[in-house]
This record gives sequence, structure tokens and C-alpha cells, in this order.
Amino acid sequence: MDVGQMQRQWIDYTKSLFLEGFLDGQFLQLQQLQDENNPDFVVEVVSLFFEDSERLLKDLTFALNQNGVDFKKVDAHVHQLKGSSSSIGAQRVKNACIAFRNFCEEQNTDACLRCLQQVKQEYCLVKNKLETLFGLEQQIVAAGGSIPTELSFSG
Amino acid sequence: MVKLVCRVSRTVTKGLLMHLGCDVTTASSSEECLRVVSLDHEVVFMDVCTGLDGSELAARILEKFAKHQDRPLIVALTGNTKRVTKENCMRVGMDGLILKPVSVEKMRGVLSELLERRVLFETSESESRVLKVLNSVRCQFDVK
Repeated sequence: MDVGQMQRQWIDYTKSLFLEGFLDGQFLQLQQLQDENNPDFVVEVVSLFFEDSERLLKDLTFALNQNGVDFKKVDAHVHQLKGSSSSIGAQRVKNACIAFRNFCEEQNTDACLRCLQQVKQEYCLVKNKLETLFGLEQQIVAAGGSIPTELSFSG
Repeated sequence: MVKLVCRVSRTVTKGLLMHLGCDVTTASSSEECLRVVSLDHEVVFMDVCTGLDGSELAARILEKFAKHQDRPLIVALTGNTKRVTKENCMRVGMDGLILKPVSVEKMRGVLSELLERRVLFETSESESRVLKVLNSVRCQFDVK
């Protein structure tokens, strides 16, 4: 595959992530912040997101499996996960967290456990998608090309 | 200065401000922010949920610089669009409130307005709609 084909593949794949709701406009903002002074900004921020999310999901699993669930603590973890997913544009994770917080407020353990599964699922999906995207970027750069800077959603 | 507990949000906000040419110091806690903040900082951005949760830090920053002629502006960064959040922030003496998400263009405008007017309390969309309706009703009842 030549560089041009790889770049088109990257564009199509990125567009699909937006059209399927995995990412929202905030991800485009991250890409805007990547420049020659900060060439790995997106990967660095997303890596932080992966680390923090995994820790929070572990903490949530522990907290929801206690005999007396501390919903304040659970809500605090979900709030953090909502914040970090929102900051990178991981829309489906963010939306799953919003629903989760509603059930924390109701102190509904069963519903919270279901929400936790949903959040985990959405997190795994977006993690795979982003890792695939970064893999495509690495291939383009290794082939001597550059990552496209414009994404057109018209036509 | 950017005081945000969430590491991802802190890194993104720092990146955004640096992209706009700012020198940025970050803090992950109120204690760290209070220890590090100085007159070199023109603005302190802090995360806030209800406004009340930022009140102690805001009060302590105001106290720290009470004997100085100048001080950093204190601005809340929040995703909470409730009017009471804005009111709480104003009551505790903050200089501004910005609604997340914050784009590059929005932050550029925010910084420009803040540094010129020294105050900026952003209105949420729903609040804007209410204000427009109230203004429209008020105009209808103006006595000529």
C-alpha cells in the first residue's frame, strides 16, 4: 500500500469513528493542539486516558462489590472518568458515565453494576479503535508520509 | 496556573494554553495550587462542580494576595451549567466562570476578554434563552 492509500485509509477510519459516535469534536481540538512543539500530544494525552481509565474501572469494580456500597465514592470515580473521557472526546464513554451517575444518585446497586459493564464495554471499544488509529499513523510516518490535517465531512 | 484534579483534563488544558502562547504552571490539588501560585500568574483556572467546592481555595488565594495591589484572576472551569454554580462562584469572589468544553478559539476569546475586563462569567445556552425571553417580555411592558 502506498502512502496516499494509507492516508486515505486513515481519513476514512477517522471519519468512521466520528460517524459511529466513538469520538466527538473534542478529539479534533486535541489534534489542533498537536504541532511541532508538541508532536506527540494526542498519543500522550490518550495514553494518560487509558492509564487513568483502567485504574478508575478497577476502583469502581472494587467499590461496587462491597457489602455496603459507598455511592459517594462510586460517583466520584465515575465523575472523574466522565471528565477525562470528555476531555479527549471519547463520547460514548462519556455518555455511559452520565447514565451511570444518575443511578449513583438513586443508589441503585444493580443498575450501577449494569452501567459499569456498559462503561467497560465502551472503554474497550474506543481503546481498540484509537490503538488502530495510532497504528495507521505509525505506518504512514514509517513510509515517509505525514498525517492528514484536514478532515472533510461533506459529500 | 491550571488547578485540575483530573490528570487528563489538566494536560489538555495546559496544552491548549501553551498552544496559545501562555506559560503554564499546573497543580493537581488545592494545597499545591496555594503553595505555588504567585503574582507571576495572571490567571488561575480551577475545576469546580458546584462553586462551593472551589470556595475555600478561592478564599485562600484572595487572602494570600490581600496585602498586594495586584493578584491573579480566579476563574472556574466547569461543565455544570446550573445558575446556582455561577452564583456560588460570584459569591465567593471568583472573577469568572467558563463552561467546558473549551475549544482553542473559545479560550483565545476568553483570555482576551479576561485580561482586558478582569471579569468573565459565561452564560449557559439555556440561561441565554431565558434572558432573551425576559428581555423581550420587559420590552413589551416598557412605558413610553
